[in-house]
Amino acid sequence: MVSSINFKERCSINFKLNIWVVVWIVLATILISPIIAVFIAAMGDSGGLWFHLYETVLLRYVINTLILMTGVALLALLLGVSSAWIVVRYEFLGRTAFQWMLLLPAAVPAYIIAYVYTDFLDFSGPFQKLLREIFDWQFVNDYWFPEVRSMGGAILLMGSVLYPYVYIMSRAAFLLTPASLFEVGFLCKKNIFWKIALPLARPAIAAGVALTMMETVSDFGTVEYFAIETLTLGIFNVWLGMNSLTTAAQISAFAFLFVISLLVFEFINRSRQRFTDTTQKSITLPPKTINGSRTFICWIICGAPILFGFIIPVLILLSFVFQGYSIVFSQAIIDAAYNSLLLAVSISCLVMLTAFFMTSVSKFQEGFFIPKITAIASSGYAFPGTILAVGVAITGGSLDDSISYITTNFTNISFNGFFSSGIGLVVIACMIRFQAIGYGAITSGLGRLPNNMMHANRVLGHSFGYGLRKVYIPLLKLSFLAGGLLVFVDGMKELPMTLLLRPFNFETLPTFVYQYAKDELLEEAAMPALIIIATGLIPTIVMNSVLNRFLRK
Amino acid sequence: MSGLSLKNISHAFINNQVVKDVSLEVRQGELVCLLGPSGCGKTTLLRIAAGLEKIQIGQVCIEGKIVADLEKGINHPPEKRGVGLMFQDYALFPHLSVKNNIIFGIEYNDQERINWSNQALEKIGLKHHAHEYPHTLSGGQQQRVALLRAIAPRPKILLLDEPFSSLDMTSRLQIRNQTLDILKQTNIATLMVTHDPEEAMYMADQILVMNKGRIIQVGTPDELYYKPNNAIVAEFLGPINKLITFVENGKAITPLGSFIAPNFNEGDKVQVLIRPECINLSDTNESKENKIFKVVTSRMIGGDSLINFNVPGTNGKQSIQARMSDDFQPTIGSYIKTEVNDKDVYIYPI
Repeated sequence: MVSSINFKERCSINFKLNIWVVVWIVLATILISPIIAVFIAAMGDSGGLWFHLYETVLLRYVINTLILMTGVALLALLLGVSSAWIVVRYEFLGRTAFQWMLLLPAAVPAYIIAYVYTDFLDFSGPFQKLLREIFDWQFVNDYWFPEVRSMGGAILLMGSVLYPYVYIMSRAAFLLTPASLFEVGFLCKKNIFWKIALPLARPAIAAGVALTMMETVSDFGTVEYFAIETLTLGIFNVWLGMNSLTTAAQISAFAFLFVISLLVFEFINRSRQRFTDTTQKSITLPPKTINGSRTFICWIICGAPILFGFIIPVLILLSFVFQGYSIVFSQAIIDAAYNSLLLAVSISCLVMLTAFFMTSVSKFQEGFFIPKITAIASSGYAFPGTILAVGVAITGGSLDDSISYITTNFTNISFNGFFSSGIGLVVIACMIRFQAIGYGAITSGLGRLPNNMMHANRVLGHSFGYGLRKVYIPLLKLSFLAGGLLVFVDGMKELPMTLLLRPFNFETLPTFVYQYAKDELLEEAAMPALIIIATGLIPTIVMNSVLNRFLRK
Repeated sequence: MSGLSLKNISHAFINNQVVKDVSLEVRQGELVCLLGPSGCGKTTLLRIAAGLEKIQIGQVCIEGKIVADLEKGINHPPEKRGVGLMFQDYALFPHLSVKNNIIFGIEYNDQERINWSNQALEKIGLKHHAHEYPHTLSGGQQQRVALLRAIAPRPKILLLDEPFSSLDMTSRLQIRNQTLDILKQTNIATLMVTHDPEEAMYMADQILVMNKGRIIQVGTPDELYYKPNNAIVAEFLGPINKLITFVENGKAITPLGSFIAPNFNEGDKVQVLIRPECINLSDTNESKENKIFKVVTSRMIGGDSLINFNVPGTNGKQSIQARMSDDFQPTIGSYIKTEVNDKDVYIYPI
């Protein structure tokens, strides 16, 4: 009789090194080491700067971050859930159009909307000018106008472009709730929104809110422009302003706690969602037809977010172009566009390939911690770009140091550093950050395929690699495309990591817009900003059609 | 010649031992069935033979050559074993046409096997579907494509994992015959896993009954059905009546009569198992004699009738079923007389 302890020993030696696992380890190290590096660096000595910061600004950073997160989350919740419920529950004129148009603001990066509205609503902006003309005011003191560059402004602006996360999650959840449950509500004379739809959609909504909050924590462009000192901006300021990477790492490590708690929150909600998710075909509640004045109310609720989050900013930018600003593609814009394109394309290819490789190895190779580490290595999206930039810079720097140590001590070759700055670093940082998107796309693609595909390939006499090439890549073409597209768009609008890690004079479209907005010359950057928004529209449309196809099934 | 032999295989997942010291042998041209309830470890055994599950304890030999033995440090990957495996869900590649699915495992320049697969496709009547994609085929057609794909590379052994379970009852019989035909022509050592005793008896030269990770009986279909070693095998191979009783004077006393119970001590508690078709019924007018029962239900199924009657003194809780092949159909409430041969009765300890 064989004892079970014996078996345990045998299970543990199941992990076998082969070329696939070796490459997997290398990739996992690249993906994880910057995050670890932040913590190692944070333990370093910052020459008392940490205590100084701790005594002076850290509390302010934390409070600002918390206020911003809460405010944006509440606004996104209000806008997202109300509009989602209306387009699901009611049939009114323009409903189908609103369904996809409500996603449009997602195409506008938060920093662009911040630049545009500031420009538009500032004292010198056209809106206040108009007011002054109408009411014949002369000076600032003649009237009161809310300051755009404030916490309230940041919350309003970020909320109006980030609510689509909540909208899309809650809309899907409302649609997936079987009609029978609503009918129970009718029979019991309950309010079906408060008593049925909302409680059932809660996990999905919470996941959407968590995503919104993560985006808020990682936002750099808006808070920098508005001078709201959040943790993210703190990292940036300490690094570039006080030139202390160690202190930046210490704040990063602290900000990391925020992210972790959000991640845990999201994870708990997602795992709960699995239970409520009905894979069976369920009948959706037919929408209620309304008309008259109530149509008008629906239009206001659904139209306001679109108006503020998309139409107005785009119109303002377009008006700059029509006024003749930045209409000529200067060499600088062409260069920036070229750099952005190159960066986004290379990132999306790299992300999709690594994600495919890591997930398939984790799925088909033996060894029981591989799937877990793959998931962790793909969690980069949760980390604000500034934290990752700190981590990547530290890792690159120490790599350079060790190489130069070796070369100067053992050889005559002089090594001036290769990994501590450069486009390569930007690419790696983006690759880590956007890994989650590729991982998600590939995992869900693989999930739809039976496991036996790989087994069939092997039993029929072919290797693991052959199976990946001949079976899985052809079958996952669409997942590659969809994931790659999303990464591409995120790469096109990435700002903080490029800003922190780019080599001198390397401009992308976002850094170009950033630079001009900072110099109060937004109109000169209207065209690049519009290009960024236009690329952002691609996944918005894709996302909507995917959701519709999924629901039609 | 030995095709596949498994020696002393044991296997566990984390702490759950699913296969316990199993040995079996399949000779060339022979079809062996692993029969057992779901979760008894039979599919795991198949996957160990194919190399999809890493061997933990024991040895796998294919055509006399060791392909897996951890003690000896041998564990050939599936692609190096020369096995054909047909999956329960067929696992046809959705992006490849029927033809390309079948030749997936063939060397691209092996003209002989490519010709073979063309002929085989024609033989099973799927020639016109060769360039279609698997999802356009019916379940039965997919099954045949999966079978052809498994045997196209001329494997040394063939493993079938529940090959008919996803087919509906009507096509199942027809496809079973066709599968048997194809297997006979290839003359290959085949190990098939199933939980359907009828299927196992129909297909197999030899059946291994598995339960809780162990093989509990090996034999031809006849031997298993008529000479089960124990109650589990007897109950698993077909419907059976079970009566609990005690041994008195060397006989097990039941309402259906007293049966010789050798190898038991006086007063032992035993279970008496009798197949429905082994109970012979006849009409009677009496009601108060031994072995006379009142009919509770009587139903026709096909050419047979199933008659249920209650055991007196159990308040209707214990009922016995008999299966009569001629058109014997007593009315409900009437009385019948039973007769059972000693040789058709299985008596096991509890």
